[in-house]
Amino acid sequence: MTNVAIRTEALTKTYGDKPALADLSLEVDEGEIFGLLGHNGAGKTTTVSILTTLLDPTSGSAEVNGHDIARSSLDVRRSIGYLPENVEFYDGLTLSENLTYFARLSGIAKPGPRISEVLRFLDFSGHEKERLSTFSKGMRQRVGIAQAILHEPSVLFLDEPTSGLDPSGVKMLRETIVRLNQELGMTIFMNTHLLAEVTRTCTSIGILSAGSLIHHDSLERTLSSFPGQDSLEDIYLHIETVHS
Amino acid sequence: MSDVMVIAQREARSTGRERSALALLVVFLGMALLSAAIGWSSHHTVMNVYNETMREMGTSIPNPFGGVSALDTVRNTTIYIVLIGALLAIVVGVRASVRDRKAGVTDLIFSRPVKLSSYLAGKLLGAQVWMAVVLVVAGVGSWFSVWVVLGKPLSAADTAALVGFYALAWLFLLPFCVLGMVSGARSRHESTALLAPILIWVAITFAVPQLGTAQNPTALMNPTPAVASTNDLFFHANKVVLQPVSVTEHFKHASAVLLGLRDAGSSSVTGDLLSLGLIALFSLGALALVTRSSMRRPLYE
Repeated sequence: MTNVAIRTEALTKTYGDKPALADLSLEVDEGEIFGLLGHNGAGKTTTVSILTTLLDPTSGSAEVNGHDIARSSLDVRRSIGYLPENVEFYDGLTLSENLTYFARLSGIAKPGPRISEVLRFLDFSGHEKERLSTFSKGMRQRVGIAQAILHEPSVLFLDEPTSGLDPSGVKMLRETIVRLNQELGMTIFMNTHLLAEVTRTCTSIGILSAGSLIHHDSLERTLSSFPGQDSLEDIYLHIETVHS
Repeated sequence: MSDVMVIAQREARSTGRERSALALLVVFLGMALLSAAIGWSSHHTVMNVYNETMREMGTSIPNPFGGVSALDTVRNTTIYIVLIGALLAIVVGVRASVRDRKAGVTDLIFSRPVKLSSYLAGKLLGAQVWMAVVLVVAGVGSWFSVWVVLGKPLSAADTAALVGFYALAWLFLLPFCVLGMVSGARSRHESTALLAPILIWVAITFAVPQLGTAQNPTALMNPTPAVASTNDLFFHANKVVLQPVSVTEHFKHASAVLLGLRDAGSSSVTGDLLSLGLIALFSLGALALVTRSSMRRPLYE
């Protein structure tokens, strides 16, 4: 029997009168790579911000790894990794100093060996003494992944992870995401609007439109449920049109 | 290592690496040494006049420095702490909050199992450790400069008084550091983050004493609190109301007593210490104004 890694129940967030997320109810099973799709402003980042406990919902509830986001936020944070869109670090510090800081904040008392292990896993060894101000966008994304998995979380949240990357950076990150899922068994929750990436990496998808979840199913079933559509892009547009 | 210590260590190191903070450290040390130089100069001038008078008049008059503490030489350090030190504390406090917001790392930090209270405690501890380093450097500078000026090292009692004075300075500067932190955490613009606490500092340092105990404007620049130049009811009423919060005046009086300055006035410092302690404690409560969402807000140049 598969356990549920993420469960939300009527999750709602409003800013004044403006709804950012409306009654979001979904379940993501352990071991999945879940892609949350939607236009800019659809509520994807709001969803991830709430699930990572950075933002309080207006109403509704959610559990991550069995921990309630409101009552056990510290337990939620202990069990997740998070890569924000446009991840930033202390540019004046070296890679090693940055990772040591975040490892200690994650409760790792002696981070040295774990940092080496993670950098080897990401094929990123040899940059430890370099300051992050010299790193490219692709390198920073890898540092972002490294800080997110230092404490061996079981769920990883990625907010637009391929945003701003060149094609080789996108390919590298895609391969990394699949390896994290297959080799380390992490559940991945990924926000994106790049449908080609979803087709290559995700096992299930959800589509958000104006804060509401209008579709949620496995990628395989989604692709086979719309025989008249040639690609996920066509399916996405079809679903959006039907619900608008 | 606890979260508080991890954040405090990072904060102290980051502050120490900043050019602006290091420049202020140098200025502060320079002021401490300048204070000794001014002390030596005034001592030298007065003694020359005294010796000349003694020689020409041939009468015996009391030595103006008889029974004066050796620490009277560095009396101006008090006013430098009120002026330069408070500004330094504000800058350090603002930078402590602004640094993470500017770097864009607050989301990463708050996605870790770190409580906001631990984060703020670590930030304040790191900033205040750095302030302690500045004061220790200034204190050592004062100790050696008095030795050079007077030609003999300070006695154990005077050394203890100097240590007490700098410890008091640390306590006095704490609310200014907190003020800077709160402003840095809540402001939308970096310039406002610095300007707002400076305006409050101006009010606390100049307006409050002016309305209460130091109507004589030049008294504000004196290292000891001045008595009201008038017995007018308005000023007297203001003094009663504002005295408890005249933090700079309390610091000046307690410092004058600790250093054994010749014009210290009343020797009781209990009220001063109580006021300084309560204001420091109250300022810690102001950290409640800092929220995770305020720290996550973008900061504009």
